[in-house]
Amino acid sequence: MKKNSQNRRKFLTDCGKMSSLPVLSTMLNMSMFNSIMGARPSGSITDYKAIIYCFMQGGNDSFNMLIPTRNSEYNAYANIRRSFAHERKDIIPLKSDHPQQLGVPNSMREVANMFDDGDLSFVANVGALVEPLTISQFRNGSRTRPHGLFAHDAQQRVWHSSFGLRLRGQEANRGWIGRMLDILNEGANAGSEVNPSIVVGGGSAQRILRGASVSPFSAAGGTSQFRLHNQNNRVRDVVDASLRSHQDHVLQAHYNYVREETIEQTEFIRSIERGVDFEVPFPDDDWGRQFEQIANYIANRDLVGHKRQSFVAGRGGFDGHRSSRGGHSGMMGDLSKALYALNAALKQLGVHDKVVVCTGSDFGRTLSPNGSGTDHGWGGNHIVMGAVQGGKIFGEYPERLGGGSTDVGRGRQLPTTAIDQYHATIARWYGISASEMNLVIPHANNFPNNGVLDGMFLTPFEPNPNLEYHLDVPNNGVRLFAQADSSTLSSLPMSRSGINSRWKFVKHEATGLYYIERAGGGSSPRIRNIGQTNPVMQQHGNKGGRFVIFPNPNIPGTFTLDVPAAPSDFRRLRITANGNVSFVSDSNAGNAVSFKLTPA
Amino acid sequence: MKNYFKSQLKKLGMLLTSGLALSSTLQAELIVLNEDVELQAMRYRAVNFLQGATMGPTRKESVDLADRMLKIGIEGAIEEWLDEQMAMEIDRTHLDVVLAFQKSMNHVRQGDRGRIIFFNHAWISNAVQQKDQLRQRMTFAYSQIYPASIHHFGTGTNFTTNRAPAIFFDTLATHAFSNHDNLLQAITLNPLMGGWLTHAHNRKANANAGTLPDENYAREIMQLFSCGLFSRSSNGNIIIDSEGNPVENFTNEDVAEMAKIFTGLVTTTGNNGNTLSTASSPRLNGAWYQTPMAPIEDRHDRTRKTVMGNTFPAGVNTIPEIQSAIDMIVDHPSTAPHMTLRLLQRLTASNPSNGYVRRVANVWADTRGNMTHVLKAVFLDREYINNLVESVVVTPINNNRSLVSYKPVDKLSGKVRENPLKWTQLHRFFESRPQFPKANAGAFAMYLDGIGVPSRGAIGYFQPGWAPDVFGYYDWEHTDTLGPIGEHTEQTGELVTAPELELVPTTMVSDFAYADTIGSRGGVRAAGSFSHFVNVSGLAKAQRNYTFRQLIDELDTFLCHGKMSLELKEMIVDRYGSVGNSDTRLGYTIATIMSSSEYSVTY
Repeated sequence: MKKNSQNRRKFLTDCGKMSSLPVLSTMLNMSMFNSIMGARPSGSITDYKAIIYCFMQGGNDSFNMLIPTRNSEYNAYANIRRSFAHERKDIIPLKSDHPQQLGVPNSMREVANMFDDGDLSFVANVGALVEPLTISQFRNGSRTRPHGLFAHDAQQRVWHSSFGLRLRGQEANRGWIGRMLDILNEGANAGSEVNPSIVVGGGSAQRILRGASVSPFSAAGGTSQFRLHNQNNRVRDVVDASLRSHQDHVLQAHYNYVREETIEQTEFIRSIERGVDFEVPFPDDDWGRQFEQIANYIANRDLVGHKRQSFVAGRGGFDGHRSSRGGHSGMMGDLSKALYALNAALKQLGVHDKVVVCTGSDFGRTLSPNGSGTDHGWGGNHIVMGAVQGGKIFGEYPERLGGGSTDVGRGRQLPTTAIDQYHATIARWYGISASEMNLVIPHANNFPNNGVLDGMFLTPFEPNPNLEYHLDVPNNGVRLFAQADSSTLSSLPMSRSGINSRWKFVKHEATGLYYIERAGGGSSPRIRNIGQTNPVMQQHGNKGGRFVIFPNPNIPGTFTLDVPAAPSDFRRLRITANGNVSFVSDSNAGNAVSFKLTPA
Repeated sequence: MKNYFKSQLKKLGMLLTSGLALSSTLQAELIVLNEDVELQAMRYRAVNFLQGATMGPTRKESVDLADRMLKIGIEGAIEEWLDEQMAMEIDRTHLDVVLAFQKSMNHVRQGDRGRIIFFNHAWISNAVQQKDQLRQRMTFAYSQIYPASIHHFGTGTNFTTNRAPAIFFDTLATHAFSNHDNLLQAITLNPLMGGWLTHAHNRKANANAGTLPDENYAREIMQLFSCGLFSRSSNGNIIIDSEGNPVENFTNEDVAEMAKIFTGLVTTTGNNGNTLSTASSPRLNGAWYQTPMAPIEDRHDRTRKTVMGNTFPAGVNTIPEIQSAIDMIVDHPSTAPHMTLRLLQRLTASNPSNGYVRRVANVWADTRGNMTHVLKAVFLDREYINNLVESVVVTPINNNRSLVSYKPVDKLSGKVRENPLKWTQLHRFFESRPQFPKANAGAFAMYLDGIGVPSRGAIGYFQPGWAPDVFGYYDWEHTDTLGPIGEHTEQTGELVTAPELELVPTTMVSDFAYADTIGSRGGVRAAGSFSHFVNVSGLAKAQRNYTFRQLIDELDTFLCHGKMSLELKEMIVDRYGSVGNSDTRLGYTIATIMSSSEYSVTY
């Protein structure tokens, strides 16, 4: 759709510019760039993924969205929040293994249910940071602080661009998703697999989608009103022609450019507007209408061959200087009901595991009220839904609200997770590699693991068929072991590394599942599940025992080894502390089923 | 060579030769007798200037100013015009119009009588009909720089609520030529602003209730209404420290301290505002909006405060302390360049040069933002005047006639016009009187959209008085990463600002809607039932004997100060010339001009 002939040149120029910035490493030179691009051949994107970014303009009072419920922590909350504190009876506790017990206001019944059902998670205390920062470092200024803290426009810009030290200039006018699309577009064939991103609301939050080579298509408020443009052909023709004149004055030329783009984009958007019947109706309100529009564009993605979509939705009204607990609770209820409908729609369309819905907002708010409302804060809590691990609280929820180790005054929370980490995690899932991450999120490398948070996405383990692996249960100190030509499996201490404790993975192309085989071969090399407790070793030709290697949300970096074809009572491989190997129910979690796969 | 141009020359008995390669540099053209060249040039300049200083000039205003420019020179004429305008008293307030409504509402549908739309009508009526055009334009500019809004009013409002924005706009109009400190004092006490930025009924800290003063107004009066977030030198540039970071003007501690100063104000009522509301939260309806807020001293924080290094002693009453705080921020070194940038963006230039900013900011700083001086600095600046002079190009065609064309001196000069100005200028040029909608729902919907068009996505409207948030209708540093602006930045490294362009994708919806309305109804003669339906019969009378092409030249001169491209004129003649009904033809033409970059961008 867009002017891709210019993309590469623009993007190259920008990489050059960014690499001159002191905050970025010299890794960003052209050979690096070319190697990145080399890794993205045309047509390399085959799977479908989408991001739906929901921006709450004004600064959501999100410590009233995710609330501590355990006595001492609730009391600290109630003490600082005063008239803004939800009563305990009005808080729905979340079913979570998080060390702190947390809940949501009772207006968010749908969100609580979706959390408990594993459809949705929270990310706690997210805010602008350019590097990890303690409260004393914040106070004594010994580490870099983001610019424009507590100011709406500056903090919105950080959310949009993920570039906390650039509030002006072209870099600040591009969004992190826009930069991501620049990279993905370079690899995708003529951009049609990735473009365009669509904004259905949220005003200036559309900046999130702006890149060096891409700008979002606007469908805010629907496109039906654009039809007026077509009603008088005579006028339309003249106007269309006039849009192409006057190129020597920048503002005038740009005026024509924007209008021409808008006409073109509108026609494009209308080409993917086909009515879809959603089983759960969307609420007829700001969020509901926008989400329905987005669900519609997702449903019709194949009309234009989209492999990567991105959307921004948004609404205002969150700047609660004059607000009330009840008023905020009502707004959270609106969001909850609309998310519920969106969640159902994504399931109906079969893309729930391919779409990430996430929230953003200027900042959290002061926890202590100002007499009639709350003022600008810093860290805040956010919702992630869809392709994420559900039922989790990612990041660190403050141990104590008000006066705790993250309180920089009036209950403003020093963020414990950077906006950049939140975004980097989603970017990695969307297809950005570790080496590309600082092109998308310039400060990502100031944080561990290129800013990627553990556990939010379960990336399937892709074993290398040419390598041999140890299959360890590290917490029990044991390692899977099978003697040549034996029919039984057993275990060894992790110090042993002989051929009998090495395994190979053989992919079954039709299902994408793996056979696990002894590296040393023999007449019975293959682990088989025969629907009973005891696993057996059998020969190659045997069809049973295709494993799925499932990332383990409870212990990051480990996997469960499951045979999906087996009865659920005997599906999951386990090695207990005393070394017994058996199949157990797939509801089994914890240490004994948490395998670490290490190349031998 | 274009047909239209060819036919023009044919009429003049000229044969076109290939040597006359004008079209490549030609922005626009009007061929006039040599004796009229200077007059035509001055008309372009007069219209150009008046597009920055008024709500859009009438034909007569443009002609008169051009004549005066011929007589006493451009600068002299502008200064005289500014002096005359600044001397004009307010003739009719926004409140006058709203109150007149209240007396006769017979033609307003019953269900609409409680809506907050009567202010809309007051605004456009005054903008179009009042003679103190510089004051009207300053009011409009202020309403974008200091935007108190009725956007947050929910249901349950009644007719009297229309008085709130009317009084706020009257306050802005009153201070159109006043000092920055007087203006800030007045809007600080205005109850609409108090409700909007929530300092109405703001109280000192209450340890028992666990509450602290509301920081909202304290922050925004510094960040948006005076010094800004970042330190600026007098040329408007942000000051960068040795580590490459912008220098921030204040911390959140300063905001919290400043918040204590803005405590104690409550809404009032009664003849002189002598009844104070003692309610815990503000009375923000009806009569409580009509008089300035006043203090309940018990609620004011009387402790010692320190803001940005300045100490405010303990025990000072509300109003004097607020005055001291305003004095402090008015005199802050960043205030003059910051507010100058904002003002220039509203009047003359989205991307003023460092020199232009510095010269105006110096006057701002010397006079504490006295608009009688600042506005002269804006419109008499040598760069601005030079632009007016140099952008008109005269090319002799033969012994008798010359081509008077318009081309920009600087490719970043000028600004995109705010959409409402495009409507007010049409009304004023055609001497059309805005009509309140009759009792029908369709008309009512159009009225709400009206000049107001969706802004910032689906939130809010660019309707004066209806800003979606305290940042106004658009990001005042809005730019683009693609298109001509993106390419310019890429090639030159210059960041290009075009705030109004943030709204163009949505305003074009409205333009086309109206293009359609004007065109399809064809009833340009009839005073329509739409308020913004422009009745063009006034023009039709005055220019009855004009040919269609002469009419287009006329519209080019007075609506576009000569910027209309040859291509556009030719297209209009080609496509609309054959339309039989002259009003429909004119309707199509105006619709097209409304949508054109020639009318929408001024430079």
